[in-house]
Amino acid sequence: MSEPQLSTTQQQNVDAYWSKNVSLIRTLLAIWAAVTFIPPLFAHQLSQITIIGGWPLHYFLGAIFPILVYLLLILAYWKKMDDLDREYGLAEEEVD
Amino acid sequence: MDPQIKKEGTLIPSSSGGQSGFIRKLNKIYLMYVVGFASFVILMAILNANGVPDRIIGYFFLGWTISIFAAVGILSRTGQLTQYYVAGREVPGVYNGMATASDWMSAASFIGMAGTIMILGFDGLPFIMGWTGGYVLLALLIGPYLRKLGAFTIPDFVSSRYGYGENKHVIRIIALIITIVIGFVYIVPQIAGVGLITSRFLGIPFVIGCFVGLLGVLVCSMLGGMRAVTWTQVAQYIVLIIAYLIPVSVLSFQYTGNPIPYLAYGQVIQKIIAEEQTLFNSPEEISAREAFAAAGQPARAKEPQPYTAPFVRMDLKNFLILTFCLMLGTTGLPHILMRYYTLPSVREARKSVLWTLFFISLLYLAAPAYSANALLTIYTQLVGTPMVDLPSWVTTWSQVGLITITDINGDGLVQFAEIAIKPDMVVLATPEMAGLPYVIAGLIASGGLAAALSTADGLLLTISNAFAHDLYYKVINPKASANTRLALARTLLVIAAVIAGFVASQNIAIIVELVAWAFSIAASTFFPVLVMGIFWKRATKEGGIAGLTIGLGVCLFYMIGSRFYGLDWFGIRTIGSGIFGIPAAFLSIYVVSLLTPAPPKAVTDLMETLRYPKGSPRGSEEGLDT
Repeated sequence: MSEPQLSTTQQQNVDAYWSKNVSLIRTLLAIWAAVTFIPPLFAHQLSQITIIGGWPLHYFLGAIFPILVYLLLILAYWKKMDDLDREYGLAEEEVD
Repeated sequence: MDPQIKKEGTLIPSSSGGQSGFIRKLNKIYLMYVVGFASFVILMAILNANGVPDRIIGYFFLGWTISIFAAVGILSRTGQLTQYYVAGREVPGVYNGMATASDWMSAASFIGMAGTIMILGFDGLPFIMGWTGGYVLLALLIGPYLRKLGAFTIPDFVSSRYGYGENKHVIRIIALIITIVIGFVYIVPQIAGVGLITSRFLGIPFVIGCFVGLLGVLVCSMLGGMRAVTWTQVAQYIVLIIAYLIPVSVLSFQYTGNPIPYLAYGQVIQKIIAEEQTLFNSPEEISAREAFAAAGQPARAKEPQPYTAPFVRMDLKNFLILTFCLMLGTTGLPHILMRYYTLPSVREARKSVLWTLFFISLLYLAAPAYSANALLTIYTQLVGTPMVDLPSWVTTWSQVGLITITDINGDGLVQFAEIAIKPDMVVLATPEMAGLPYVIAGLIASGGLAAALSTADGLLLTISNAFAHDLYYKVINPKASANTRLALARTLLVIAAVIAGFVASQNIAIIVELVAWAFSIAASTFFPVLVMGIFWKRATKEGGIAGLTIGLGVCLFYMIGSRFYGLDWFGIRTIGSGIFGIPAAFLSIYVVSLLTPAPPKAVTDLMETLRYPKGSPRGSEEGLDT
């Protein structure tokens, strides 16, 4: 790409930004994995509980709850990365 | 003036006047479209009530659906490469979200999924989690980086990361072959889905239905490429989501007094649990099951399992593995990934995944509600009715073999054990279960058509671009002019469509299974190669080649072995074959990369620029300016 070579300080800036990005991804993926793969392990026990609205808990944790969490995870990543982009001066030029 | 300007369709304006004005114009166009669609449905209802026969209404619905999509496609035609390949990189996040949602939701999601969940009960939920959770991976691990690179196709991305030095085209060719394989196994069932819907609703032969669908797909995508596909997919999303939600909302209101299916179906599940306690072991059911046992059909003589019972139809291990494979597969499907090139910026790409999942979840959260409502209808309105007085929705759909009732114990009444149901039945029959007029059944047909066509559009473009851009332009003739490239892309689109249509019209049973295979293949090839390529600078060309080929090889070996030759490793089902391919691919990228020389500085520098949004390309005729 036709971008100029980065200076050392710019390089350090990019590295710091990237390591924050990676640790954010780690955190969000840990939540993603927990929400997806832990409730099925306890499905038998959870099925004994009925929550408001009438769902057996294990069913709610399989059919509804994960989707809501996935949406929040993507929202969190978008918002947080927006802040990081600006903080490190690495945001895109405005389109308009 | 450039003569090409005249070739541009004018329905969708361009973003040259600024992004916010562009979004306002789009909102206005699609608002008008929704109003037009609603008026059309009301008009049909009035005609139907005044004696116009159902068959005619069916023709109107399908004819209107196909022609409106074709109109959007034709009006979005283009003669520019960036428009043809990536819709000019100016699609706002929310509209790309809608387009990706309908690109993603296929005939199987629309017609089949609710029924599959009804039959599998709790054990069908991997389809819900797997086909939504993949978007988290897409948002965090792949989408923004694809957009930052700003290529045209997925092999483009793979090649700019791994294709360097001698034999630099090898990995692009492997990637394009995998793209085409995934594209074909996925598109054929879509066209078959169109054939199914048109033949059922219009009574025309299946083969003709397939070719009608093909024509619909072609007019949507041929003239305008990605630009036309994007704007028709938005239109198709609107139809499919309205069509999906109306019948289930009415049925939900009838059972619970709450028309919002998402909130109400918990109560329906409670009713199901209550019914099951008396139903399963009633004397009539036991006699029906004993009759099946005596007739030598032990499969149907088994005691049914409660709807919410976990791991009775699929064990925990396969449940988790299937979820995992579907998620990673979602993230590796080229026709979905490709959509992230159409966005104006990296920031918009991150946002767009949120919109995509939001629009998908409107349908995916409602699918279990469909299943629950339909099952309760079967328990309460079908079981126990006399064989001579079956509800009309049973007689309609038994004619096409979606539901069969065998009065095995000869008592003249329907028992649950005597009902055999196919998954497609649930969504198709819900309008009649809810006692809705025929117009709503027509709406469902339109929605299913929209779902199948929108997926087929995206896939067809993916396949033909792999040939025209990756194979011809990038490998065979890099000097080809823009006009040659466009003409070739369009010709290949038609050829690919005709081949897909021909295969679909053969109506081979295995086709339906193949879709599920595409996910394991994508999960074992593109997902590892893309993620390692983005996050690990040391990954080499040889590592990438090893990852794609070994991942694919291991996955196919288990798929074919377990499906046809009784291969069984740890009791894992064919559909979960990716669980072997995924680690094989990651491991081979890792090991082979460490054994081969590090990639050149040009590649690591490029990877470095992918790490932040600043300076993302707005688009070029090359697809890539490296």
